[in-house]
Amino acid sequence: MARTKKVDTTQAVAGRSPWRLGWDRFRFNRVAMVSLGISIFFFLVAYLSSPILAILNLDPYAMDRSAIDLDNFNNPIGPWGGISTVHWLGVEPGVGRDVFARLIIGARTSITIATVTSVLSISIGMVIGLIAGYFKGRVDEAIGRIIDLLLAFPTFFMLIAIARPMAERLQVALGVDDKNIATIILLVVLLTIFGWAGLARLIRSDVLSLREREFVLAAESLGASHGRIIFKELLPSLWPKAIIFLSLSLPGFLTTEAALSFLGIGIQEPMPSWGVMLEMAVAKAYTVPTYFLIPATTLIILVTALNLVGTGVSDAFDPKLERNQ
Amino acid sequence: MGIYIFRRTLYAIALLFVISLVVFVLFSALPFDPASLTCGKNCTTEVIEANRIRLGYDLPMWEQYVKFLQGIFIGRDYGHGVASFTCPAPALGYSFFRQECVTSLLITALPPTIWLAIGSVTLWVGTGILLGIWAARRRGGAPDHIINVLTVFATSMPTFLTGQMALTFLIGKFGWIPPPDYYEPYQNFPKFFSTMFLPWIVLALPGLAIYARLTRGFVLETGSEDFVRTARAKGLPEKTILWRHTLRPALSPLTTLAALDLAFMLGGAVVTEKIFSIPGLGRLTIQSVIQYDLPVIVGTTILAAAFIVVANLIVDILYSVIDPRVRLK
Amino acid sequence: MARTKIGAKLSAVFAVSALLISACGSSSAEGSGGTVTYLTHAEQILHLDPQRNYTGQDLAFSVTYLTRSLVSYAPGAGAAGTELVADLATDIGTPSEDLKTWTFTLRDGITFEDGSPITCAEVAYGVSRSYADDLTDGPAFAEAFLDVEGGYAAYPGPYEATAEQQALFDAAVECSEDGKTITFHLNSPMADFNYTTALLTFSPVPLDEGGNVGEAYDKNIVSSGPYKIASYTTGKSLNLVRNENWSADSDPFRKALPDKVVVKFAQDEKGIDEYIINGTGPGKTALSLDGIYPDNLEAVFSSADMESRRLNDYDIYVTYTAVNVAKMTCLPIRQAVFYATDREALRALGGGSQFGGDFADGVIKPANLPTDYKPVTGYEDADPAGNVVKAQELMDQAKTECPDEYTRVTTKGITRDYADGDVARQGFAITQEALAKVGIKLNANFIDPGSYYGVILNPETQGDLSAAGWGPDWLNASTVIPPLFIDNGGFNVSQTKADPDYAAFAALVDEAKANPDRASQGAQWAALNQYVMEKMWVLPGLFTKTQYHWGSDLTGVYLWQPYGCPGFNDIGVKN
Repeated sequence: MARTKKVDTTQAVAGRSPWRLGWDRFRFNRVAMVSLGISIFFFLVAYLSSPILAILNLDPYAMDRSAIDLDNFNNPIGPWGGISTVHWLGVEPGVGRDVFARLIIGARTSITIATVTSVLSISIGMVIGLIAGYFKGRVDEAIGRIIDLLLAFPTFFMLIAIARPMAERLQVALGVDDKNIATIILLVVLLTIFGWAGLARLIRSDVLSLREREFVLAAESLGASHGRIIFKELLPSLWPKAIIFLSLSLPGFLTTEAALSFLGIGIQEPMPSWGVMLEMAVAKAYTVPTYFLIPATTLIILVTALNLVGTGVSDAFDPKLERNQ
Repeated sequence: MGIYIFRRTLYAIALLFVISLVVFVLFSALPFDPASLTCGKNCTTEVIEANRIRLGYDLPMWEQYVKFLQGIFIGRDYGHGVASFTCPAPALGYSFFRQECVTSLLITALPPTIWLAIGSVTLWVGTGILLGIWAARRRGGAPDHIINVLTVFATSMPTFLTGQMALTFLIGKFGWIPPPDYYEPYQNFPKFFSTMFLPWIVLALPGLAIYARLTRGFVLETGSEDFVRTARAKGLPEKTILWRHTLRPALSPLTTLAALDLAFMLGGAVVTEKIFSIPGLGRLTIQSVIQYDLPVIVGTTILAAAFIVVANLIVDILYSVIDPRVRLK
Repeated sequence: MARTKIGAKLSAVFAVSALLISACGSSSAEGSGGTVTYLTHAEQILHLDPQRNYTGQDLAFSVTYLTRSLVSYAPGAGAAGTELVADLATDIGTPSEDLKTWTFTLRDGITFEDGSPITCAEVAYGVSRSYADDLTDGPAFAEAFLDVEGGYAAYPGPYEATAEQQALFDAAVECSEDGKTITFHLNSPMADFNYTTALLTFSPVPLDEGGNVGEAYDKNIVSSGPYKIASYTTGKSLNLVRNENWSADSDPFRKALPDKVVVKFAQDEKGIDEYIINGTGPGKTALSLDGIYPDNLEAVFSSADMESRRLNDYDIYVTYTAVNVAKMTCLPIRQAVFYATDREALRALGGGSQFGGDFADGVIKPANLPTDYKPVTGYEDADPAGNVVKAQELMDQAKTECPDEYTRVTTKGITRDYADGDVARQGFAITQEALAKVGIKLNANFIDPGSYYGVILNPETQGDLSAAGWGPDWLNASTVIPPLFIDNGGFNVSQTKADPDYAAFAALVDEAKANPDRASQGAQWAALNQYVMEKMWVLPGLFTKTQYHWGSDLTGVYLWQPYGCPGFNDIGVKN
């Protein structure tokens, strides 16, 4: 990956926030910027999917009987999974729904789950890490035990084992028609429960050392309130770590969601998500390989882009690295 | 020293105990009815009720948990009259779906998982460290860039995709590699190796990237430390500097990480085992989830947690041996 | 038998029309010796325990290799394979005049694998195990037919029975002094009880169960057939070797060709096909117990090399949608659902006419129950791709005839139960769109396959429509119409009791059951099939087909009609 270009340090040594410093470094990382562009493009397409489909007059749930061959397992008619001017990425074998429409609506589902989970687990991780590191003693002890417990759980196991039966119960409790709504909420909650502990532990140890620094001790001796110290003194120094964590956890959660749906445990048909599409495509991988390769490639591109943004961010915000360049 | 180890061990046991309780309560509270799941013929309410009693789900939850704990220490009896039978201690339950004691199911499923874990952890740690060193030594050069891009790419390829693609195209479409199957290594090593090769690689890819990146960081970081500079100033050859001075401090965090990774892998690589039909713990778990085979799910989860807890314990104790300051904390 | 392996490949039988062309000749000397390998993705054979075994293919496997019963079907291709022959007994059973008592005489020289003789006591003991709650999953025919006073509720099986309770059972299953004759007393007349005894429920079990009592017997059954278990590990393999104490003289039909039989479990589904198609690994001498992976069907059936080692024919099953009559009270709406359904697209999902099967017109399949089948009339205008016009007419009719139900169906909608899976989910999408054309709102309840039957057999948890399938337990529609539509029949997913005409229907069924004349009985079943369709208690699906393939070195593979799967008896390895 391209290395951070030398930033013109003469210009404004005075009073640049860590944000500004980081962004300046990030801006000159070409690979990271391109990846950021790709990621933003994906997010935009995902969240504008409904208007896009309305303009193109496509429906992710509508079947096109003319595009599939009833005498041949309902496989798409034509080469490359039935790619045509009407169906840009072909149609699904079996029911003949438009792959492009399902791909971008599915992107919305997958991206939403990953984003909400990331933001939630980071918020919780920050708050709890701060509390543990700041108050120390009993509070720290108790939180440490809970973190130990959570980190000892085989997360993926637990997700697999709990998600499906719990979704049914949640669906009844919420009184919703669509089990997928319950599944989405459940996935976010479960991924968050198992996701915050790692960051909390990092933040805690940072806070422990920050607490002993002069500026915090000074604020304390001046009689600043706990709230002031936490929010005004400690928090600003912790943001870079949270940003790094966010940029790395987002692709992680995206893959986890896809893997769960792929195993038949997350989102389920007819609601599209990338994992669902991949799961359905595996059974047809020999005869209609395009149907498998399209969502697979899309997922890999987005995850790679997000990961490159992530490394870019950690290069930019991690002050230690500068020394090594 | 002894006191620290003792306290640390006690804590680990307590942690395991709490985990077993949480897992047990969590799964018992799940809304499925094991009694009606193993009810084939004549599935009337009376049969379901009889089944419930047979499986022990008629008891209050705390009593079920006590029985479960008892089973771990003294074994557990099932069935009626002359048809009764015992799962010997340590019994984690009985799978009425597979008609086997959970413990023996776990014991059967363990070796494939162990081979898979050891193979892939060795592969990813070894290759990762080597790549990391190479990248660090050619810092800023072509190898560094290539490795950097490759590692990001490898991290971004989810195991379920790489595995499925390898299976579909390398094995299925082109037939370059024999189809998935499992052989015991001491029975047929060539076949064992040829069928495990792909799963090892698939599982190792994401981890490999992490180790390469970490090693690179460590080497660069210690490379600028004073003692390395001194060594260099003394005119020691680069190789000696690298192996003696630069890498040594990086070794203990890397070993810790590898130990924890291995422990995690021993819990079963669900996706890889499912895709490559490896009859290990991960596959056992996913199949039990699909069949709602509750006792097996509880058993595999607790076992996987136990691996992590024990690995942490070992690492902590080793640290305390290496670095006495830890004990004072 | 109920389709217990949902989603797995089903077993198959020969169509009547295919009988003449499909004789698969293999002389008895050929194929002896060697090892035959069976490959499956399953973790184990669901049950080997004779009193728990109730899946077509598992029954056929067990009957051929391990467990003898009083009578059996003579293995063979086509109609020859459906003939009832004596096995442990010397004849196929003698009924009393009132058809309420059936007597079987046992052969000489029949033994278990340890050499101990099989007498009436072991057969009776086996039957009694069927009552034990500890042993789940088997068919309930003993409980249903034997004249045990108080029935299932009064007798808890041999493990827990007191002396008095045991006496109740012993009165119904009588042994002669010399242990050579066994007499069954039935609670109602049955003309075809001897067919029931071909099920392994009526197989002998040693009184000590070989030291593995109850639950443990399943993995350690004591063989009475030509092979015995050498080792059995769940998720790995089942290895059978020759049973030295079995003698061909005491056995009328088992050929026992290979020296060893191996079942390899937990195989990769696509990997199995690769072994077999390419002849790699164990593939040359292997048969897939799972049929052919759907994505490979086209390749297998277009390859000239595979021509002599593949089959594609009707199995014993009929698929249908059970209509929960307790909820779907309005006949025109039930019919409208049928007319609106796009059965053609649904069938295409499962392989089209070539691999999926034919559109069913009821629940009796002509391929295996020719005596009982007559084409159902009255639905000639039901276009497989859906007849929206007719469906709309029926909906309009319903609007006036049953307005409440009409409102419910079009606003809140109806729920169809599915055993979860990719094809089920796609099928739902197709049906939902088709029904929407006539204003019916369809919701889905995707249920995990493992708990599917538990959910739909419980009226409280069942939806309006439930996907189901059925195959006869023996070749008489008496094992189709009564279990599917009679209350407590075993598989009455249609909840027919809620229909006002149920009593009249039940009376007709009783009449047919007691009819000793097979030909006129067949006509009665055909009429009842017509009755069911007029009432639209089920929406018929497909008369399904199944596909198998095997390695180039195997000989003697054909479909065994009663079980709808390969007839294991003639399978051997080329010399």
